[in-house]
Amino acid sequence: MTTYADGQAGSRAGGAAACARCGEPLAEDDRFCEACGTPSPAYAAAAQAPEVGVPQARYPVRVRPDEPSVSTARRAPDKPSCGDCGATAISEDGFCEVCGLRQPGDRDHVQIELAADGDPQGGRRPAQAAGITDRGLRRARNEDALAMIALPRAVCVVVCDGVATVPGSEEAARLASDTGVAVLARALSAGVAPVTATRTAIAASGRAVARLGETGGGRPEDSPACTYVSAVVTSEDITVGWVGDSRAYWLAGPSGGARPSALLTTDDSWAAQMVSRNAMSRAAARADPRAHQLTGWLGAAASPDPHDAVFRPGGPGVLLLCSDGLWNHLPEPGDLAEALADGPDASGDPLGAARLLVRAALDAGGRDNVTVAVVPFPPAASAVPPTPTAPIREQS
Amino acid sequence: MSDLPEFTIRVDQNPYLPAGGREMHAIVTVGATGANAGRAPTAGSVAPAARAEIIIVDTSGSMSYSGKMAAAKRAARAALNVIRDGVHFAVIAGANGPRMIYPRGDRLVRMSPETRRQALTVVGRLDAAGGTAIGSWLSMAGRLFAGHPGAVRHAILLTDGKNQHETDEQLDEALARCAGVFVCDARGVGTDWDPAELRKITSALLGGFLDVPDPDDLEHHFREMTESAMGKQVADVALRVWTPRHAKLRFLKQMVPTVQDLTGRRVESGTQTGDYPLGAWGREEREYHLCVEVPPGDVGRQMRAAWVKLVVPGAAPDAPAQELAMGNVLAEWTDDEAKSTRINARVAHHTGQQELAEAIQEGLEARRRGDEDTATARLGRAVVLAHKVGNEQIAGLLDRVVDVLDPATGTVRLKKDVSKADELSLDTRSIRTVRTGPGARSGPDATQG
Repeated sequence: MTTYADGQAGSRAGGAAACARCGEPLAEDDRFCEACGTPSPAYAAAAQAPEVGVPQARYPVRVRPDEPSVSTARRAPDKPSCGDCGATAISEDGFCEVCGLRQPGDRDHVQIELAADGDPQGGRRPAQAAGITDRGLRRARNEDALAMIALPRAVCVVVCDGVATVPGSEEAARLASDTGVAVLARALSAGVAPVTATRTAIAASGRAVARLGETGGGRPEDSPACTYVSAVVTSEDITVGWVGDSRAYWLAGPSGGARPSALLTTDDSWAAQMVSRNAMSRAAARADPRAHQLTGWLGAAASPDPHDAVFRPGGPGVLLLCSDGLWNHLPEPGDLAEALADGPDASGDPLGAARLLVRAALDAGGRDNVTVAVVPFPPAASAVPPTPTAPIREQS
Repeated sequence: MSDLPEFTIRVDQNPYLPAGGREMHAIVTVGATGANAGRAPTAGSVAPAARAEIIIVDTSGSMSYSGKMAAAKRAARAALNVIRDGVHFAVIAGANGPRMIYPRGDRLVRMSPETRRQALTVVGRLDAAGGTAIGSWLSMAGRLFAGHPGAVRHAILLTDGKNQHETDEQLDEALARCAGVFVCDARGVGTDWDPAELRKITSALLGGFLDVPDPDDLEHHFREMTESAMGKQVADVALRVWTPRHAKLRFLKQMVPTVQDLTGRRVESGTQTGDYPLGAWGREEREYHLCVEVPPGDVGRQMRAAWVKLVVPGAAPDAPAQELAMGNVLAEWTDDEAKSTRINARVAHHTGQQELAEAIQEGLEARRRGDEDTATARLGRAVVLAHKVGNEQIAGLLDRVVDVLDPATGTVRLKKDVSKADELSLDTRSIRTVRTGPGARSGPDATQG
């Protein structure tokens, strides 16, 4: 029984009444295995009360629109009990004091929802954006990071993915995403054009990550590094900026009128380089062991060559930012649209859409950290009359 | 006091286990250093304890040969001269039973210029007569130390022969009574004593022992042992080990300075927690090899496989133990074979040293039994291991017991004429280990978190 295992727990509970760890038969009302003390799947599921469709609602976060949301620590107010053995004694460093297993950290699963201004519509406020970053099932740490903020006339989101082979990359991703969103917010509020703000934010994040490596004193190639993808969504268009292989997608809404679903970024990766040079087919490049080698990143050893693009959707839909933990499993815009087809309308419930996609990645094996951010277009806040302050002006 | 020791615990391990892996090894290094003068005590420091010292001199009849008695007197005097003023002390003579030499009556007295002068005088009158009953000597020391709880309690034991005048059971009972009451370092003088016996005694009493073939060297040994005892600042140190539920502590062995298996010394001290007594501590560093078997976790999960803490008894009799330092032995399951198959250099080093000690002891035992095949095989293996772990002293001693034909494969031939002193020395020093080099300490698989 792992802390991620509401899906597994369901299948175990539905199978035979036996302990998942030691095989001891379980009586229907047993809360714990008599032999080894492992919580019974039914009890564990009830005790943790996971939200439907969520890997586990460990640390739900809801952020007010006027408050910059960052991906840093947000501990649940109540000290959770051990998800593995049920004990309530968790030591300060996160290990269960009975079974010894480390409990999910405050960054292992973070979800953020930006509620819109204005009165609740139909009992629920529409969300301007939502995102989830999750450790996945096989990695010890979550080296992805996610940050977002809603401004009066724009929604800004940044997703970063720490380079797993380099120590300190977890910190790099967190720093880059926080810096990126903070710089975007400041620049846009000061009236800077989205494209300029996007470039300024990437440069600032790159410098911040490079400084991390300098203090470490190691070789540049051992310095912390991460990918970066940002989006500024206004009521007219979407501006994306990126370095590395974290992606932005446009997913057209069901009502039509919008441009078709599409990938808005091109990876800084070996595979993308091969395809762009017409050296290999897309399938062959992707199957190569070198496919994921990055050709661009933020960090000390980076040759900064950031990209940006402006996209005019023309109609309703959602913008999706994600780390490769998602797109490895669902690379094509069509795959993503299909994964969302059974769920609620992504424009109306971006958090629900993010959950569906994270779930899909975990169901596909969850080998990597996975991060998903969903921003409805046009932004929900644009339904609200523009505030008189801080209009966004175009600058040349 | 400016002389407060500050304790640290360092853990060296490869924390990665393959899927389904259970067995985790770690080297736990416990060290104490002097804090800066004038600095307030921190969490990891304790006030130095009072000290109590007893000198036990074998005065059995055999001591009158080869100048041993005269050398023992000189040695006892050297020790008395090193014991600091204020330390409680006594001198016991051992034969068929123990006899108080100084002071009169079953007690310890405080060292002063006056008591030192008196003790030096009466030690000069020691006579050799009677047999050897070491258990009875130790029991007496235990009774004298009982009046000094909280002090660093240390005894020096000198013997020249086998424990012939009491039964093994009597010795075992005495050791059981004395374990935890005091720490005992021993010296075997001449060549008629039994290394296995002194190994048993000093292991039970958390001390060390050495061979002193030449009686003239005793004086130097006694001075050194006493100086070392005077350097001990903290009494009754224990390693407290917490392990996860359903985990099993396979073994805990001291590896530096000597190999001593502490596994059986566990005293339960809480839920999933046991204390392993380490004796008294000065400015020194010791290393322990810990092996714990844990229930496997899923790939990607981390577990605290053991939580080791250095503890001393609380200030008041009922006060909880004071924690001086702590360290974590972690486990992390991975499907990356490159990580899980790596062996920590220090774990490998100490695993080799354990096997080396066993190979020597088994080889010498087989040789004494006349089982030459086993002796050749085990001592040959010892030659390979001694070179591998870089224990040059043992390699040199092995050269005096076997002719090495090929050190790489361990092809050896037993020497026909081996001096008793060389055999004793090899047996005695089989458990004396060497530290791992600095290179092995900072490997990429050093402790994380």
